[in-house]
Amino acid sequence: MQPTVVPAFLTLLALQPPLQRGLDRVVRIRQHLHFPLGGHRAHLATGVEAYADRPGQLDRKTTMSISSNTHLYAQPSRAGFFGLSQLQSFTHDVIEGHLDAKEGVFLDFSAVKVWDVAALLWLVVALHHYRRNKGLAFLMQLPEGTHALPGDNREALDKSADYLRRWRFDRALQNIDIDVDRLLVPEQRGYFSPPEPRKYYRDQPVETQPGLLQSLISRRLAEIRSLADAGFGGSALISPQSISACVREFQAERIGDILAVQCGIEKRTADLFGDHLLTEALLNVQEHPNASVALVGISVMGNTNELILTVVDNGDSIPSTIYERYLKDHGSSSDKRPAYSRHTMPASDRATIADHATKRGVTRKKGAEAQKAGMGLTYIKEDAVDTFHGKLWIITDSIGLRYKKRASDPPERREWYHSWPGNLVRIAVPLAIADPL
Amino acid sequence: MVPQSPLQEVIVVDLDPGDSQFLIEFGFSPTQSTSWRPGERNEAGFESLLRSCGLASTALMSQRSFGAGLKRHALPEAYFADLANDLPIPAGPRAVVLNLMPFHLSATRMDKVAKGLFLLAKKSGFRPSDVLLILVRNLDWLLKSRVFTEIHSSAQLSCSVVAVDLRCYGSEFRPGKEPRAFEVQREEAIWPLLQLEGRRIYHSLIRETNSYIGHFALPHSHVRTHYDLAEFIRYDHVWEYLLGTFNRLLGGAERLLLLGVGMELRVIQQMGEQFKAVLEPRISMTFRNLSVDPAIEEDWSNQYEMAVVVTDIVNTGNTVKPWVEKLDSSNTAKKRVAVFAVACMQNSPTEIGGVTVSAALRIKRDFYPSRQECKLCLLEQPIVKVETVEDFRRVTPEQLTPFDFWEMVKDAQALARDALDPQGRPLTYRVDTARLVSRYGSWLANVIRRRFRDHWPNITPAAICTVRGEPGAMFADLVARAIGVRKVIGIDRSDLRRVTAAGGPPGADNPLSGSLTVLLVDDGINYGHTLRSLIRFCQAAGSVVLGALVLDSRLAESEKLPIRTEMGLSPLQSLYDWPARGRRL
Repeated sequence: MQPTVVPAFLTLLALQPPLQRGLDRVVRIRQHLHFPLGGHRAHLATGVEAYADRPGQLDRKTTMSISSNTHLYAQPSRAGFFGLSQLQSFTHDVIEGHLDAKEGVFLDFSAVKVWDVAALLWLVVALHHYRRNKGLAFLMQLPEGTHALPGDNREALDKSADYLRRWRFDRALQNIDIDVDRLLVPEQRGYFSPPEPRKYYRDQPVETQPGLLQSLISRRLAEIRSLADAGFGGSALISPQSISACVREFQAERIGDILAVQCGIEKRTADLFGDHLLTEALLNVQEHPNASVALVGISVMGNTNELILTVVDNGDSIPSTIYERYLKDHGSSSDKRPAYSRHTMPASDRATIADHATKRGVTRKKGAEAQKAGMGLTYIKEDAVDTFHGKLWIITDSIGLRYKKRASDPPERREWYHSWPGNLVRIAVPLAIADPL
Repeated sequence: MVPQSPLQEVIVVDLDPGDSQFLIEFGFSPTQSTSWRPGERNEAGFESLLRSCGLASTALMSQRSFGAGLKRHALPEAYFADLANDLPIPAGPRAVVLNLMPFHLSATRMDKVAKGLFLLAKKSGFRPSDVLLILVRNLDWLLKSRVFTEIHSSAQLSCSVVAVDLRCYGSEFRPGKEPRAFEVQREEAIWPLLQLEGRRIYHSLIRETNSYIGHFALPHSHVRTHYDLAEFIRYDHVWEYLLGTFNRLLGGAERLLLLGVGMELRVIQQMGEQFKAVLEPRISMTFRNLSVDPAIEEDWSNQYEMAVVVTDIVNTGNTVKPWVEKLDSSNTAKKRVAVFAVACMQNSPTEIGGVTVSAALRIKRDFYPSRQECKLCLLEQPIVKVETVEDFRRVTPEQLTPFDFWEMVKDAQALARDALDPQGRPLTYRVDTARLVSRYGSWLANVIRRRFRDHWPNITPAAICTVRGEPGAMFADLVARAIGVRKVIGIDRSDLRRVTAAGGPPGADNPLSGSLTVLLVDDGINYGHTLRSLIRFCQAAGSVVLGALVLDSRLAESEKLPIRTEMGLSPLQSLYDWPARGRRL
């Protein structure tokens, strides 16, 4: 843990003023919180006093280990951004050190001002895994402006809260618990139900809201959609009916017209976003067996001027499903090679296998079904990169592949550790946001 | 296009709607609207389509519906191979029109279609003299299809293929030749295929669109109904109808100022964007949503040939009037001004500020301009104050009120006199549930949804249990759709009678196996005997009864309690309660 403590310490020093406000919040949580988990009240006293006594000398590990109900702080970037990198740090460096916390943990996202929708969806897959497979009990503290905060900070956190509401983050959380309030700290019960109109991301046109975002919001296209049937008794497997309904919904809304008119993208190309790229990404989820959580979300990243489409699932990983085909294509058979294991296979090999899945005609299917199949990920890659000049990010089995510039180019590879099963596909399409019509 | 040899026969092939369920499993998503299906479309339009593709023909035209029937296909390509093999082969050239418009597809789905039609089907199926005309929502699925591209480029294409999409893009693929792109005219290729008469479109609004019924107080009027226009304009035939009506209104204008105003901001924004996307570059259009940007330039008439105020539904016209007047006051170059609305009420003004209102539809209801003139106020119907569109979606706790119920019954002609109930007992009046559900299903679904949420919060039953056969089954299906339950289990009345304290009918399978929790649904309760039998049946089957939901009930509240007790005091909800049962109505 040492290498992660030092940079965290430096970051914390830089963030001292906002961190102090965060500490104040922690104190207030301690004072007002009733957390009847297992019948025990929250015990943050020792941990909080450690915070208050030693600001700027924070050793999260020491503090976390003192209290029995652990408060885990999700550190955003300096600008308050919570993206995939921040998520990886939070899950790997923070949460996973506390999976044995018997009385549960608090997951504090209260300082996050801007979300990457991909990180939001991938977070849900992670939390679902921690809860269901690891038995971790947790409550979440989501961002919200309070009167104690200075104006600009309060506005930013209110905007962050309205983003979660407008994007229907509660719908994603319902994959973990049908009653989302049970996942939130008690003071935030009802977080997702404040009355309209909300202050930010309004569903009615406002001058300060770009036309593209306005159109996506007003047509409910920005709302996160779940492809599982999360009914009574827990989530069910991803159903073709759910995927079909989602495809129908998006295609019927003619997203292409929005992109053509709002962003100046040529009409026929713009139509490919909904009719082709998004549809293939949704259909591709069916290629990941044993998925019980699958989510899709669309958002606009203002700072990079990109339209982001993300699909995540917790099914079998791409490398594991394609491994047998990979061996066959490379002149080897699974009888002679060890079985696929994400834990023992080197990251570079996993990345190679995952990349192989994006090649033309490579499919996990067998027999007659396999003939002339295996184009889903290829189409996604080619359109995202070559047609839309965007970027494709695939995360699976703790490796990340990034495709950009040309679909035929080999991807950038990096490790992206995650203990949970599943796959993430994130497509970023650059936009030239035109003036409103 | 190079003309083909004279066609001997034209065969239009649709996929049987009964196959939709397993086509969904293959990733073929049926559209919500039925615009393109046999019986809903205009069959005579195929001649015009063929002509616009250079396939003029006086050949005999026939329509086939390909259905898998009892045969289950493991793969979609096998399905399409069978479709091709199933086609009759006349002696002379034929055109086969494969209608895929009712489906949202993708390139990978087209891979499977192409594989089935050209690689798996018997080679004699398509001959060089034949033409396969594929109607598809997006031509680029076919152009991007690796399988189809390979088939064409490797000369495995046994006939010419022409594909046309909803946007009027077309492509011709001939064996051994490069693909040739072309465009068709919407008026000649697409519109003739659809039923674009006002009557049909009105039917779609009233019968096929989600609706809300109540007593809505708008800023300038009171109204009885509201329709989900966002859903309405998504139907292909409706959208093309609106486009056609709007296009005719423009009368050849090429520089247009389009101003959107109204409560349904989403719909207005969508119409503006879609009009602009479809009509440009032929028409240079500036669309402005007045809710965002209320300014109208003083010299607009020097920049544009025409200004159109686009709105959702015109009642009094008071929302649109100020903008028409503003346009008029700055209309120095005396250009045309028009108002375009999706719909108006039957007593709405036909002119606003001297400008004719062009409404695509006229709804056969009145608006009430004031409380004093409002029939609903006189009848003391619960009022919903509407400030945003979301307010229309509110179902009040009192609904269905007696007025709601009996207005629906009257309008649907669903009242039978001196009828017998399913047990053969005489009733003075009986409601025909099938007619009611057929006419008002979407509105009833909203009421059901509200009632279910109120009394069964955060619960989804594993199944709905009802008595097999109409009319209860139809209502049960509606409830299932409204609350998102997939399984509806109908129990034979004869089996209900055979439940005893010892258990269910001996020797019978347990239809509720795997359904731990059930919601009982029936169209009505007269005496409660059927419902009690259902409760006992479900309990004998080992299921937990969450409660019961019925359309109407003739039981007094005191008579409901014993039934609820048998369900562990679970809710027994009826959308409408008849008055005193003693009158044996």
